[in-house]
Amino acid sequence: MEIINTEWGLNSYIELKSIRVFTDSEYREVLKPDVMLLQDFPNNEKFTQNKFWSPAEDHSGKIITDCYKMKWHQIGNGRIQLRLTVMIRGNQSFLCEAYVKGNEKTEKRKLARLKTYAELIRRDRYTVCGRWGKPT
Amino acid sequence: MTAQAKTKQHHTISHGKIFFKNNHDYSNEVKLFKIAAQMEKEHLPNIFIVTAIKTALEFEGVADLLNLWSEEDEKTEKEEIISDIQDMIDACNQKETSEEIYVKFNDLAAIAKNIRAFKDSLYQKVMEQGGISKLAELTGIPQPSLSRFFNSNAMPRRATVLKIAKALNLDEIKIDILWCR
Repeated sequence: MEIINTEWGLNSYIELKSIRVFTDSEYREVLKPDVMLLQDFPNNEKFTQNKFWSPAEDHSGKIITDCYKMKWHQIGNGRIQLRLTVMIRGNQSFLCEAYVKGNEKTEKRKLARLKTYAELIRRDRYTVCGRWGKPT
Repeated sequence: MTAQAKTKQHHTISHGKIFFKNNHDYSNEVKLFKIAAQMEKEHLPNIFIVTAIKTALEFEGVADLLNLWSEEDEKTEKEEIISDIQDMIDACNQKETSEEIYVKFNDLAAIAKNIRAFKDSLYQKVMEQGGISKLAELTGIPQPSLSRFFNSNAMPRRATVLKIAKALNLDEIKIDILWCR
């Protein structure tokens, strides 16, 4: 599966990196290798672990079609929880937005944003800022 | 489900003619218009309200944000939602797929620094010309959204930068193509 980094994803990385949410070594040793697992989606065992990967649900608890959350716990010096929203479409996975898991309200807003991103991806209205792997 | 998808059409045949009956209940749309009235009461810019509603009619995620805003009491959280709505309006303005220059992880820190310097210099000009509230008035961009724009290190959208430049009557504005979207 090809991994596509969207401009929304890149922008969120820039923001998180500039406020030092994660260290460079965490990016290289934990975050990036986990994201690269998407190339083998859904074959890697980690995708069966709810602690790492789960379907995204909107504020009313309804599953957002084709959308998921990749989760990390105890990241950075602040030992925060990091989330990356992902949309799977055919043989491509789109990195939508990374954010620090905050309270319930933040989560609802982020998922409403994800729902909008997913719709834009379905309509082919997005910007690609990086690609990894090849479409299978 | 979008407003369009919710619409169900049934037809009846009478005297050889086909009549279509629209069973769409319009309750979601009416709810959005009520939220628009609520936004007007809270003095959000008219152009923002109209664009938000138009976008919400097309994108369920934006409608969700509007609903969250209308149900929220806390001022700071409401402001965050307004900024999210503006972000989504901007995102939904894109009409096709495009491919940008790829940015390497090692370059992110330098880019963030570059963006910070650009926003700081622009902010200086904003302060010289009446501040954020004046800029909100001139651009139609809600104040919380402008605050998020200046506080974050995210890549600014060209359209937003140009809107601000126009409002401030800046003849020349240096936009670095590497990071300005």
